[in-house]
Amino acid sequence: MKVINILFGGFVLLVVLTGCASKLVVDTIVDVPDTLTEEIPADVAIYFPETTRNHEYIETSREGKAWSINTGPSQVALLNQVFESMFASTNSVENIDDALAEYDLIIVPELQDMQFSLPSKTRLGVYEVWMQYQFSVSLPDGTSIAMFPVNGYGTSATAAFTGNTEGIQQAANAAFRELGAKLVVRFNDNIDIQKWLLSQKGKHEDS
Amino acid sequence: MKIRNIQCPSRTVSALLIACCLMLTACASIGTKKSNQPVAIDPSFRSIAILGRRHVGHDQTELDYVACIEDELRLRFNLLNIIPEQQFIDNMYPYFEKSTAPLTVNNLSLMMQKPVIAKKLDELNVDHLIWINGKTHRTGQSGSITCATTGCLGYATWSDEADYEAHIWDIDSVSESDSIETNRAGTSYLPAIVVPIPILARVKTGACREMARQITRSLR
Repeated sequence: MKVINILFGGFVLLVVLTGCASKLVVDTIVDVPDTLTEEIPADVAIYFPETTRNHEYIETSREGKAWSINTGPSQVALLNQVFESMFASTNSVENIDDALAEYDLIIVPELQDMQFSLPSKTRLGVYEVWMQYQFSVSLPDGTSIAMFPVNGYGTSATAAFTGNTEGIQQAANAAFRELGAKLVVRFNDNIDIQKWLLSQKGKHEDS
Repeated sequence: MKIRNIQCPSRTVSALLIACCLMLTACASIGTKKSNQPVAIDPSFRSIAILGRRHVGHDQTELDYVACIEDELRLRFNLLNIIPEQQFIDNMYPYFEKSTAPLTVNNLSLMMQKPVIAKKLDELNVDHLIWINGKTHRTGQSGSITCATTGCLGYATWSDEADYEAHIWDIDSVSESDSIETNRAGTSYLPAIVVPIPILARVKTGACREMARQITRSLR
């Protein structure tokens, strides 16, 4: 009985020291396939606003826990991967005012909203993640070409034998995957972007 | 179903230790990777891909039902590449996702005007895409079983209904070459006298085999 008491005491102490019982920190991961797309002949600068690059979703209390979901690095990785496959060259710029004249287009992806749900609160009984982006596409002189929203929604495969960390990661990855897919399709179908591409094609043919 | 379980103290301690380890390990993980796997196909044979319909606002066709049809067709066709569903979707990313997949043959026709898509389908040697639409539903259940350390006692029963349809798209002619429907229903029983004895109606498996038989007839 004494041994059991010591082990139980150790367990309680570990929980208190790590703080895991009261705060859950989740770093999202990205596992999205290479994108199959026609390469657009343009040199593009991508500027991630601070709120997107270092995005952290914080909720102080849900189901007795504080939640911190770090999505910033995953968002940057996903969007860099997608944009690299879409354009002849891309460069992630630190400052939107820096040497933009050398680029053909400037893209600013901005995460506007993110939500998540736990299995106990969803109709499907799985983890869910939803995120809403606004993409703005402009010329180096600041002239706006297009601005369009894209959202991504994803669920975990199942909630059975899935912890909160893994469940959120699975759902976030599914949301990233959908976001990337919709971004490629919306970008290619956007009439204003198509007009700009045609004008560029005309310029290249004239020269 | 009621399950009573009495645990001894040593098990409780083990469970607590395991829980502790899980909590500690669940606190950190980060990474980025790509999930593309090249599809292994024999280029001398034609290929098909079987895809479940899962778009938003629609019943999600089960992954295991699609996998079952793939397995059944592999047994029936030796000279055919059957590309696993997820590998096909990954290789065609982003055009066959839930939110972007073509819902009609006309959508596919428009999609195939993009040279990268036509080229990829050609690389994979795909001549047919088979869309599976439907689900197995639980239509009713009753009874109860109580279990204790001495064994179980009771009786439970449930009914399932499987409704599926397949739409076969011919890639060369960009048209729907056939559509097939399968319906099956069955009731499973679980009497328990000390030990539960399941007598299962394999509704989904039956519907899968029937669907595979009809697809085989259509493709030959």
